[in-house]
This record gives sequence, structure tokens and C-alpha cells, in this order.
Amino acid sequence: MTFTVHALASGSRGRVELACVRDPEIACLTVEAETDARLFLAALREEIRSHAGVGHSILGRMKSDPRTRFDFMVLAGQHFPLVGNFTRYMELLLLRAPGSEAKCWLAKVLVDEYGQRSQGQDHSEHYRKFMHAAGHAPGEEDNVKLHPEVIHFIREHYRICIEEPFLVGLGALGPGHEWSIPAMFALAVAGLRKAGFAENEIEYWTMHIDQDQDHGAWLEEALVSYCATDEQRAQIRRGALLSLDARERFWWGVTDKVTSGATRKNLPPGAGATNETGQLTLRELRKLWRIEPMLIEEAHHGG
Amino acid sequence: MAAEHLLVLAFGGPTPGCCKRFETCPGEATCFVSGIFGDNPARQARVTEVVAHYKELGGFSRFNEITEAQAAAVGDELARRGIKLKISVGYDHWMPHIADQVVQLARDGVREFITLVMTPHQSSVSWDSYLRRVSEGLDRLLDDKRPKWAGVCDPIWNKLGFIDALAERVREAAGKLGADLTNSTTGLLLTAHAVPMPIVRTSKYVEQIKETAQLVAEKVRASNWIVGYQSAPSDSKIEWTTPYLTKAMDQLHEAGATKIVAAPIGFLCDNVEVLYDLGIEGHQHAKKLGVPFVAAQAVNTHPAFIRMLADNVQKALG
Repeated sequence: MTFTVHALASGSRGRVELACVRDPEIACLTVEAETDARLFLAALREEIRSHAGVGHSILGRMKSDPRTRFDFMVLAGQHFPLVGNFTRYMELLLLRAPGSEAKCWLAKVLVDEYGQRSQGQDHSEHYRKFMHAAGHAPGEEDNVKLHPEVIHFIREHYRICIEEPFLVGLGALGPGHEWSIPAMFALAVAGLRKAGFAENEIEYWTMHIDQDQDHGAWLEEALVSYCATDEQRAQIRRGALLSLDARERFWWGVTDKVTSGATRKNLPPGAGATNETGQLTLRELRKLWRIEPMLIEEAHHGG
Repeated sequence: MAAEHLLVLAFGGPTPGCCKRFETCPGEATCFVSGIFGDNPARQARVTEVVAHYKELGGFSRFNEITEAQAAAVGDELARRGIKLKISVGYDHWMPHIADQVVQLARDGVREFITLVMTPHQSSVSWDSYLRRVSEGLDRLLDDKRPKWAGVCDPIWNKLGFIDALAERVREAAGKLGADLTNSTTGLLLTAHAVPMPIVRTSKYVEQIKETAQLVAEKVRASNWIVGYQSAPSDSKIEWTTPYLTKAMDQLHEAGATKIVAAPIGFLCDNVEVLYDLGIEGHQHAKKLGVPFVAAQAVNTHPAFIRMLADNVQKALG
């Protein structure tokens, strides 16, 4: 693939030299179609930036209403399952990618997730380091009672990556994650620093701000090829918004846990407003869930 | 040793005076609202929308003034019963902050205190949030300076004095319309703050509101009543408690209401949410429906409510 693009991110119609994209399934885009695709992506970026899941109050308040290490310990217990499952969503989506354009992007992000640009440590390992700094005992990271919205987030992303059309999945893991995480994590990092975490303790967070900006930029190039029709655009947007809606619910779940955590720590049972009865841990969830690609064979009705 | 201090915990509202959160003061209402949603460009539109509600009602809230009057009235009632208790008030979202008030208790030499949470229904974002601030204040103190947190007064959603006070507010409002609550042509709308479903899932918030509503409706013998939720943010993409108050008004109307009486059962004072959402939005919607509408006062310092709070404090003192 050899197309060259000049300054279209601002929405201006620059000069575009476009050779054919690599995948035979994807139609060559005309200059106008590519411009439209980029304008769509710019509008989607803006929609994501102003989504209530990205601008949730638990993140926005971290500067003005500092959180404690204990609050971050509670937050980390809820966030860790998302970190641990992200690679699986991507692997599942990779299997369904219709062509090498999308496969390349997914693979590039995956090798980062596996640890290529983080001293060989995968992102879960990095997150564990943060969890230990926040107060979780090693080996107990997956033994935290999870808010139902944490489980919803994971389940919804598996559903999207397995059941929805490929572009819906790409919208969820692409724009829905890579374009939202730098904004969300920048707010979180401000709170982490205020809570007294050292830079080496919060590498997972700071590393993601940089890496996801790269992933987002690679993604934009890959997505252009998939935004040729209204239907494709609608699928990508739908995926992004499904992911962000689950994200908004997730942050409310985290808020619920963080807010009631201190009450639970300091007061006798029953004094607080919430209860955790019936909530599962990640360890329990792993025993209940089996996630695997399947061979589905249609019956042969020949001759 | 018995508790010698009662710390009253509440949400708070903006009053005149810069909170010094920003170098250049953007105005108390902006500071208050952005403090709730966060200083985040993604929520700027919602902050502007809510600040406009405050500006329409003068830019400030009577929340703190009313809460402090409630606290003083509880103190007077306890004094009448021979119970001497120092009382202070702290807010989750305005000055004086709850955590600062806890630190002040230590400075004043208080050794033991109890807390009274000024919200009728329990969820993590109200009840637990205020209690969390108490922990935050205690965490700021050295172990030997820390006063003992001896207890939390019971929640009040189904306490008789609260229900009696609400029922009287409803009757007063119905009287203004000349409305007969027992007749289904009078719709009774009982409102509470909307909360997102992820918060509802772990608490009894909705059940408690339903119980309060049921008890009030029975007390005033209302035949056409409904719970409605107000103040849900317009920019949220997820499900909040429903029906929203305007939809609830539609439902009352469809069920035969030709006049509507609204009462804020989820609020303890006439704050800006009550005054705007019921007083302005509710009125506007009633106009569209073509029905007379009146909003009842919140319980504020109703004597039955204050006596119930005093009972509650007395019980927590043991």
C-alpha cells in the first residue's frame, strides 16, 4: 500500500496521491471518498472526546478532589480485569479480520500488549506492579469482588468481537479504546501523582498515554480504507459507542466501589449503602467462562 | 464515654464567597457544579447547562442555610429533652467540607462524635460519599489526635416523622390547587434524584424510594400517584432510573389527572434541583399538558421531621 496523505486531519481537502490499498476486498478510494472518510473519522474523534464515559466525573475530579492510595487500590481491583482481557478481544477480532490492512493494525497493537515496547513485560504484568504499589498483595490481584458493570464491560466486548460484524469490533477496540484512553488516562495520571505514586509505580498508565496515541494514529490510517460506505461508517461508529457506553457504566461501577470502599473499611457492616453479596471475583469468573474460537460447519446438502 | 458532638453531613450548595479552587474565580455556581462533574472539557457542556439553572435562580443555593437551620432545630429539640450536644455541619461539595470539619473536631478537643447523614435514601453517591469524607478527615489526623467515630444515625426513608412531614407538605400543596388527592383526577408526582443504573444495582435506593412513596401516598390517600426521577444529566448515554419526571407527568395525565401535585420526597430541602426541576421544568411541562401544577415544599424544618431526626440522634447516642 502506498498512499500519501497531506494534512487532512484538520478537515481541509489536501492533495492526496492514492495508489490501490493492499487488500483486494477493499475498493480503491477516490480522493473524495478518502476525504469523506477522514472527515467522518475526525467527527468520530470529537464524539468520543465528549462522551460521558471519557469525561466521567471520577476522572475529571481527580485534580480538584484528590483520591488516596486506598481509593486507587479499590479502582485497580476493578480495572485489572479489563487490562487482562483486552488482548483476548483483539486476538479474537484478529481471526475475523477480512484483510491484511486490519490484521496489520491489530497485530501491531497486540505486540505492544505482549510487551514489545515495555521491556518485554506484558501489560498485565505492568498493571500488577501498579496494583502492588497501591496495596494489593501479590497473588491476590484476581481475588477482588467485581462490580457487575466490570463484568458487563468484559462480556460486552467479547460479544462485540465475536458476534457483531468485524467493523463493529474494530470500532470498539479501535476508536472506542485507542482514542479514548489517552484522554482518560491523562486525568487518572494527574490523580495518581496527587496521591503520591512514584513515576515507576504508574508506568502502566503513562506508557499507555504514549502508546495509545501511536496506536490511534496507526489506526486512523487503517480505518480510512474501511470507511468507504455509509454502512461501514455506521458499523465503526456503533462499535465505538457500544464500547464507550460500557465504559461509562464501568466508571460508574468503579465510582460505586471507590466511594463505598472507605465506608466499608471504617464502619461496621450494614452502615454503608451498598453490599457486595453475590459479586464474583476474576478468579471465579475464569472458572465459569470458556472463550474459544469455534469451527462452525454448515450441513452439506449436495447432490 | 458518650459522644459529645454531632456532625451533620450533607451535599452542600454554593453560597457567596470564593472557594479559591481557581486562580481567577469563575463564580461560585461554576465552581460548585464543575467540582461535581470534574474539571474536564468533555463535561463542559453539562456544567454550563447546570450553571444556567443556578443563574436563573439567583446564582446561589439555599441548601446550606436550610441544612444549618435543620441542624440548629435538632439541637434545640435535643436540648429540650435535656441532651447537650455540640453540632456542626459539613458538606461534600462546598465549604465547610466534611473532612475539614472532622479535623476541626480534633482541634476542638472532641473525643467522640456521631454523624447524621442528610439524605433520605441510600446509595454510594450520596450516603456513602458523605461518610467517605469523614474517613478522609480522620485519615488526615495522627492516631492519638483522632476522635472516635462512635456511630451513624439510622437512615430515615421510612421513619414516621419523615413520612408525616412529607404528607403534610403534599396536603398543603394540594390545598393551593383545591385538589382532592383521593380523586384520580389529581395526580401525585413523588420525585427523587435520578441515579445511573450501575449505582442502583448495589444499593436499595430504588426500593427505599418506592417505600417512601407508598407510605406518603397511603397517608394522603392518593389514588393516582407515581414516582418520577429528576436531574439526570442530559449528556449521559446510559440508563438512569426512570421514569423521568416529565414522562411521569405524562403517565399521570394518561391515567386521568387533570391537575398535578408534585413533592420532592428524595430531597430534604428546597435546593436548586428542586426549585428548578419542579418549579420551572415541571411547570413548563404541565403547561404543555394543559393541567394546573403545584410543587410542594421539601420537608425543610418541618417540626415532625425535626423531632424524628432528634429521635434518630438520641438512638445513636445509645
